[in-house]
Amino acid sequence: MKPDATIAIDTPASASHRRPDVSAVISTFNRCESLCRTLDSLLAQEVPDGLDYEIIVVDNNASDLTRSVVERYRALAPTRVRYVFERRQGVSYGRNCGIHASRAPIVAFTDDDIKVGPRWIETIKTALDAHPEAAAVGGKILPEWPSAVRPAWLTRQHWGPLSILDYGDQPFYTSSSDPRCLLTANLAVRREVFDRIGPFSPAFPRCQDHELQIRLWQASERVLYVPDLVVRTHIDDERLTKQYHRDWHARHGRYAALMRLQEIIDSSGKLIAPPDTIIRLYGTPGFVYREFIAEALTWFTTLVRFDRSHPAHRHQLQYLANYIRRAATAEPRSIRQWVTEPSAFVAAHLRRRANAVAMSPRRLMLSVALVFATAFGSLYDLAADREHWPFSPYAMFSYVERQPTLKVLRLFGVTGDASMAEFPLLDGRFIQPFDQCRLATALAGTYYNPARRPLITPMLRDVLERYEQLRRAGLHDGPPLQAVRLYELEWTLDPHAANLSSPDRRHQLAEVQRTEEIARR
Amino acid sequence: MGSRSWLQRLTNYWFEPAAPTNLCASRVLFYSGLLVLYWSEDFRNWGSVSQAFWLPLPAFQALGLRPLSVDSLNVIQVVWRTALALSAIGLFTRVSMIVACVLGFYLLGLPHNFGHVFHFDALLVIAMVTLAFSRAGDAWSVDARRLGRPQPPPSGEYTWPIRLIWLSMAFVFLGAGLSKLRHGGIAWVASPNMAIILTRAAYHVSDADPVTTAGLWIAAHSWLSETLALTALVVELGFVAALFSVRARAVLVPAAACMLVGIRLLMGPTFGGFLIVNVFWVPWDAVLAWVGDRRGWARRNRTDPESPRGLAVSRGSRRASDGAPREYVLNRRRPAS
Repeated sequence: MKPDATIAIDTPASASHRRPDVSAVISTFNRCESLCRTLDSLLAQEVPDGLDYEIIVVDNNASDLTRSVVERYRALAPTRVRYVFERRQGVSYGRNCGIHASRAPIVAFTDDDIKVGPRWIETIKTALDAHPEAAAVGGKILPEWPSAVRPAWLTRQHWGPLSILDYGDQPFYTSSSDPRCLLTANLAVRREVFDRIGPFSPAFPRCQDHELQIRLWQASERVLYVPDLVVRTHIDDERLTKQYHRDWHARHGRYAALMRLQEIIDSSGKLIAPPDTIIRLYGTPGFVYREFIAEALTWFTTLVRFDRSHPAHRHQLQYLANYIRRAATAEPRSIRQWVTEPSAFVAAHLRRRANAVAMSPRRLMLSVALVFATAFGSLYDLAADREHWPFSPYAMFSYVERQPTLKVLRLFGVTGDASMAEFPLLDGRFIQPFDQCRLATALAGTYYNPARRPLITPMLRDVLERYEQLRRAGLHDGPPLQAVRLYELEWTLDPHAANLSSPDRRHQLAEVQRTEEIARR
Repeated sequence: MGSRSWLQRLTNYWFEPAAPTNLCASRVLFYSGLLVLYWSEDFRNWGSVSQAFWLPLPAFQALGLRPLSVDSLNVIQVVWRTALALSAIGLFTRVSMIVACVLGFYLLGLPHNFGHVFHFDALLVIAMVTLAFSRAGDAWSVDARRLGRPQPPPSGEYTWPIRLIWLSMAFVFLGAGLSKLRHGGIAWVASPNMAIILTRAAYHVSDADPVTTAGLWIAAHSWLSETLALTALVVELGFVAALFSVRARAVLVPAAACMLVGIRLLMGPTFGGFLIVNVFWVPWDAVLAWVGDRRGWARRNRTDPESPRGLAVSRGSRRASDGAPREYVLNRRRPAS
């Protein structure tokens, strides 16, 4: 790594001092108070004989008393503490400056609000010596809560924004198959690794540790999680507000979009090479939009249920929204592109789906439309309890019959002979093309509807006319009719239907006599 | 379940590439069934019914459809039956299925415009519309043979029509079940309601009279009629499960068919059309494979006199070696020597 013009590096007080084993790098910006705590803990390290380390404080263009604080510590430990100035703002620049200034084969990173454990340096050295296959080691970051009571919503799943990390008490390797991120507040990397994969990316003022580790994993390197490597972070009150968490997730979403994090981590949580075939809308794959919609629905559901997990969904929503927004603005687009891209996105998706099911996109669209239309028609009638043949709520026999009675309208024919006998027109041949049920219902619907009641006479005349026509055509052997009469019949139901021909009540509603005209026809 | 896998499952359900066998065999049986069912149905007379009866369905009103003259209806029903026949055998299948659908919609819908709407043929219309948009003529058709088309590869084209007809049928039963709960509630089961319905059926209130008087006997036993009501409700509400579960399908589809037959026997209403639609539930490819296996097995055993079932029938012989007719031998175990 070549030195930059904006970097100013102090040489150690004694140039003859031997090369240290570990360089601890702290990039700081206007946090001189908390920096003291960090430096105190670093200077109080319990190291075995033969293990030497240096502390490099990178002043990232601070405007407070950082320099004088560091000078004070330099006076206390001139061979151990070094001051480096980096004018370019950004923690990546600061850390890269620290890497450049470091002389040890191991570069350990921590933050200016961290208190490291008394054997932090020794644990790093031991772990990396014992595991030469590990490119880096990282460990737990435990919280030091403020005295105030923690908010109830701040459950373990909200620890990300607080830079708290605890993956348990078992060591493991993070790699492309288990890409769990270790944070630079407690991370030590072999210096040679930076020569292979490059330093922290200045494009990432945040999430630069994640980006670095993704490059490590992509280069098939492994990072060891060491549970004994513990630091403590002070959680100030500001970080306990929902606003802080929302902002953090929004920022995280933006930098995740730069890393294309949603694309390179698959659904099983493994790091993958993003396939070239991903279909994007405004730079974001379609599944991210689906995740956004699903998350929005989940958030809404938890909100209306008064579920306490709703802030987590709100934060995830914030993350995805900013992911989408950042991806959309990553590349400049003309107004035309903004307009046409959705249709191209839909068409590409349709083509892919159609290919997968061996159909043409047009046919797929047509069939989906038909499915939706049929489902909508059925559901609408079901929900509205209305009939739109061929859709229907199928409400026949659905009303509860409470009384063992029956009231129906029934048409009777009056024979033209001297007996003037009446008989019910039930046989389908007499009343074609009606049947007994259809005719009775049609007549009832007309008779009981005052607006349509005047039609009852022409209806009866029509039945009489067609009866006679059918009889004369030899299509039935019924007797000639003189008239048809419409009755309202009422029964008390008999268990054996024995009273079928003798209803309890019989009330004539209408009658139509055969006229000469009917006889002629 | 993530949204991606949810969508994938939905896509698989509707469009999983399948061989055309199920759809095309169902097409043959469905249109054949329709032809048989409506062979004797005469739609001409609806052309002579007085306008006083005319109470158009929303669909007919929207499309401005009116009853045509007797002669026109005669022509239409002849063309429709021809289209049904052509659709069944698969000649000019695409056109004939579209014609069958359009004319079927008019002819089957026409009788419902005269004051009463029956539901027994609504599903047939939906099935015809679905098939009109489908590729059900790609196999098992004269067209395929005439044009020398090879068996088409598996495609989602042969899955979605079947699924859509399933869905439509599930909506029918679900609608019936939900309507009962909505209008009747639990009293639909736990009351003399079913007994009253069964007894009323004997008073000529349906489109056809019950085939048997068993309904009256059931109505006389309250526990039996209530069990019947509960069973009907369970089948109707549970039918949706047949969409997703093979086991549920094996139980509910026959149960629903039995229920429709039971309605005809005990109460009168006729649901012949619904029964025809059941052909879409049958996995014809599995049935054919099973039949093929059986035939292959029988062939193998005819040439293997030592077969465990003892089907010692010589090839080409109409009689078994012991002189008994082959059909008899096929169903008989060989006596222990």
